[in-house]
Amino acid sequence: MRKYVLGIETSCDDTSVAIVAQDGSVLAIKTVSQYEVHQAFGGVYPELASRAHLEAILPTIQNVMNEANVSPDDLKAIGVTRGPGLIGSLLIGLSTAQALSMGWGVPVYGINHLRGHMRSVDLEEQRTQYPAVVMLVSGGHTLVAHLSDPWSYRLLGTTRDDSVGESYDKVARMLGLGMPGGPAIDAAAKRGTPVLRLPRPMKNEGYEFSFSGLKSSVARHIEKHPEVSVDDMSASFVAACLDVLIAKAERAVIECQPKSLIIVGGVAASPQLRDGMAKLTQDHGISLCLPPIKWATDNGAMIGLATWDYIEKGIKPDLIPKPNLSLETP
Amino acid sequence: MTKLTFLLQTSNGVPVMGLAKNDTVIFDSASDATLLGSRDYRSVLQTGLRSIGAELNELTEIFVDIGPGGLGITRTGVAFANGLGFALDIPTIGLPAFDLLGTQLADQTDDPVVIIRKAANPFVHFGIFKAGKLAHYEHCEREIAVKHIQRLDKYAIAGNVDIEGIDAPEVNAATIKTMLKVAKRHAIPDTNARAYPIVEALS
Ligand SMILES: [Zn+2]
Repeated sequence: MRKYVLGIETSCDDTSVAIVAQDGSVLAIKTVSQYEVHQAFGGVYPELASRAHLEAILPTIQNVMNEANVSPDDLKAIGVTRGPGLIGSLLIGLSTAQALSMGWGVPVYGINHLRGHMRSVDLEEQRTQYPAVVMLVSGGHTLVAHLSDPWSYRLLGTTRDDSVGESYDKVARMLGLGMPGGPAIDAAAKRGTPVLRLPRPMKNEGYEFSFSGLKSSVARHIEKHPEVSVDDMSASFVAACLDVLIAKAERAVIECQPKSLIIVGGVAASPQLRDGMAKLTQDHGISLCLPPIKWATDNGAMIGLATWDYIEKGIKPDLIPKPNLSLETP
Repeated sequence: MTKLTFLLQTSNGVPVMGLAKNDTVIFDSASDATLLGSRDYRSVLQTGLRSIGAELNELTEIFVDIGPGGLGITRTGVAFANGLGFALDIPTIGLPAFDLLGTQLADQTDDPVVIIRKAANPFVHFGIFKAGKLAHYEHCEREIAVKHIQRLDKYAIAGNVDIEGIDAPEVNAATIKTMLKVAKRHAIPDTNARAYPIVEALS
């Protein structure tokens, strides 16, 4: 019986592979982080990322299949990220998946990474009630969308420049907090007080985001006042980010009248964000869906679960990498 | 036992695939203009297998070009070859592009073969192939390669870098027949052997 999907995620700097059943249960997952490879560059170095994927991908697939005790004959399909992401990294996943599909005689589906993030909330447990509003906040993406069912998405808005995660990382670097920036800033913010009134870019306009101005005003402030407390600066920055994110989420909740609000992506791990969104959903009497933190960052399980949607719909996109793939294209 | 070998060359940017039974090439995608250069490795391989009346699971080994050359395309070729070797439980063996190019020209001349391929500016990949093997290789600045070449009395040249005062490269790709010849020099390793691209110094 072919009842599992092999999910492969290589869009950025983590090689992640999982075996996932249609109900979202995860039989096994392995993620090989490239954190150490890129640390010296202060960001992801694309050439090194694709090389590291090439070295890690087959041993990771082998490990996961061994751990889940699954053979190619148990696989209904292979799902692999086709975009958005770094082209060199995407190509390693896609070429490998293409070859495995051919060698094993198992169909392969090119999956939209953003749809994977949306589905991460239902891994291991069905949490979403539709219609839903989803906010994806991570190092690579910032967007808000309306979901009438697991397949039908309407993008409400995305970022015009930096993602939230990127601005967290950049501000962390300015403050000498090191990488990864998110947890470091969150921790410093907890110790500090948001005494500084930083701008809230585009807070009162529609659903689009812009974080580069906020980052620049932090830079200007540090330059003028080098004595500023790192904790207070972090607290002020986090307060400004959250203010914008929560305002946009609330606007979407009022307009779309969803049954649930979903927060996914690496920044969803922020305790301040979780608290703010909990209050918002309480005020509006809807449910808040937050995936466990282990599913919040890029992983093969979310790609595996999204693959089941493509199988059900009979939609099989090509395996050509799409670095700028949008949410609305499968 | 009959050997059915799959050969994949990518690093010059124009992928070519071949199939060989024992010592004979029986399919060469370069001889079909509609297949030459295709990056859809799966469908070209399927076409090849169909044309010789063989099944995929009859493949016994895979040889793949590991560069140096086009970074992205070499890696996708290696990823495909490794994935296929893994899925079929057969070995995937890497062949350095400079062995392929050197062998290609060495068949036509007794002179040493100079190989020079583009790398990220101002660097090139430079090699000298003589007496049947790659005697020298370095990732160096173009000017250093030029000095090496000027020291040679006579030479043939392969690659994709045109240098003033030096003969233009004659070829930048080996034939599938040459690739098979180079492959035959390799002992066949375990079925879990995989190939990795030649690591290029990052500038
Ligand atoms: Zn992501």
